[in-house]
Amino acid sequence: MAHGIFLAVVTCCVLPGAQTIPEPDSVDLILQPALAEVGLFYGGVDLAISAEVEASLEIAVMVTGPTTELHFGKKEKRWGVLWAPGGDVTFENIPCLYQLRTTAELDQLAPESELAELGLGYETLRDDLADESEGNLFADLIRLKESEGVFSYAAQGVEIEGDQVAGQQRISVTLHFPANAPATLYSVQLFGFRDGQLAARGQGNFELRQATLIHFLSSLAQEHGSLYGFLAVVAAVGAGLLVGLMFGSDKKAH
Amino acid sequence: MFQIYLPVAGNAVNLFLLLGLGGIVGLLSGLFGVGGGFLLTPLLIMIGIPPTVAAASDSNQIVAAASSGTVAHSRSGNVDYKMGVLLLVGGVVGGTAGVQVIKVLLATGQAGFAIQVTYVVMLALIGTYMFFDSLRGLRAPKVRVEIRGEREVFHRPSLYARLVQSLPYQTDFQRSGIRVSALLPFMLGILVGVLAAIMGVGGGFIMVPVMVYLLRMPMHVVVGTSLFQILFTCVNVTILQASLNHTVDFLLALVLLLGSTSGAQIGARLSKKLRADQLKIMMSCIILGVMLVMVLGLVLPPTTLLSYKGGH
Repeated sequence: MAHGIFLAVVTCCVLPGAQTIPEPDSVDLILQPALAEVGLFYGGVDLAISAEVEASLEIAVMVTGPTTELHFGKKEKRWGVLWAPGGDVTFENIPCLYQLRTTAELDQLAPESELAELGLGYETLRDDLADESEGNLFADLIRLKESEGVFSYAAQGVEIEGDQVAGQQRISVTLHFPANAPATLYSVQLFGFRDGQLAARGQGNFELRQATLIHFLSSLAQEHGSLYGFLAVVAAVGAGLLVGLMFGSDKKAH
Repeated sequence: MFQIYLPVAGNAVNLFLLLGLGGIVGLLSGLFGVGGGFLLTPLLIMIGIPPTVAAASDSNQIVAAASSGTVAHSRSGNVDYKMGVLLLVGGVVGGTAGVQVIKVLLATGQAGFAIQVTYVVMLALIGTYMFFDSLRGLRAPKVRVEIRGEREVFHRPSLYARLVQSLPYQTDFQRSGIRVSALLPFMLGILVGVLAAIMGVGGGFIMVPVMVYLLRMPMHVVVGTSLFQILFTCVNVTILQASLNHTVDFLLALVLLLGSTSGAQIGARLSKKLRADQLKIMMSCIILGVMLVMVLGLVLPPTTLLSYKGGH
């Protein structure tokens, strides 16, 4: 006990200029829906995120999926005129989905170091790439992911709803999850900034879950590949012969 | 609207678009005796299917189209089973050798470039030769008697013909109406197998010209026999892809095969109404079209320098 008091006193004396950074306020997020099922006729889903925040804050809402390693072939110029497959390139720790909406441009929200710490902005996904040419490929990666609909960023992409009540404002963001977004657990985060400092923070989860039939087929393909392949061949031969017979009997009927 | 979710591809695609693509490829399969993988796989990639899944699922649906087409052609007596088996055995031997060639190329980092250049050169050679040959056939009168002065001219057999005749194990292939050495289809099967493995395709579009020009088989028997051989090749590829790479999407294959089996039947009936030269000129146009698209892909600057690994 005495030891603890001594440490506290020493800390205050040694670090007179140190300011305690206040903990950011907690914000409750409302996710609609919080869970979506990937069934046979699933074609994507819209996730609506809303929250009550202090009206003076700049807001960023970010949704990310689990990270993975991505392997690509790299096109290279050969013989001066031909673009052909060349070497391979690997990107590490790239989320399967990254969607970001803010009330202002990123550089107006917080300093670069703060943005990097919170993972806000595509640049924070950039790994230590071996050389400059691979750095250019990072821009290609972002373009590719944006074209697939799994990456998106929009400044002024946060909607302000209704009027302020006691300094509080309701905000909302609607994000589209395309059908190619993997069935997994996604992290939904809200950050509120005041004068470049993180002042409010909220967190939630959104789950995309495979329906029974889809899960069954997917598991069969992954865990019992040989059986799955055999069944796929039997079904294909059966369908082919059936159609052949149908056309054949049709011919005889005429 | 009308989207169907594909569990292995991990994406949703319009149901009618898939049925239509299957139908078109099935029609080509029934008409020309090709699997259609060289055409369907790039189309599937374009609509958002990962390349590895597109190639593997395509093989699965070709099994259905080839079964359907083989039944239709067999009913008309257009499948030379003896020839098909010899080509198939050669194809398996050649395919295995081709996979080893690819391994060496991969180790040197030249595989991708080698595949694309081989593909373009093969398509250009086959397509151009087929086009001009069938054009000659279409322009020529149906019965051709070459008379110079009063005497009929007898051509000396070509070096190729003399070489073929000198091979041992001369065998009658009654369905095809030819007598050649059993070694010839076996060796040609090896050649096609090597090329097919290097290029990552079933090999139908190489096998068909080989049967027409090197084995001198009649076009209608070529189509049926090619389908018979493709059926077994694709059964093998489907099971291997499903067990080793887990990339066969059965739902995708199912929708495609619903379209392709019907298309194959229509194609098989249509092929009987067309002359062999008409069939050949149509196929050569498709081969040259695919070659042109590939050349443009090689020459035009790409929108992105990254490409997903796998696929044709």
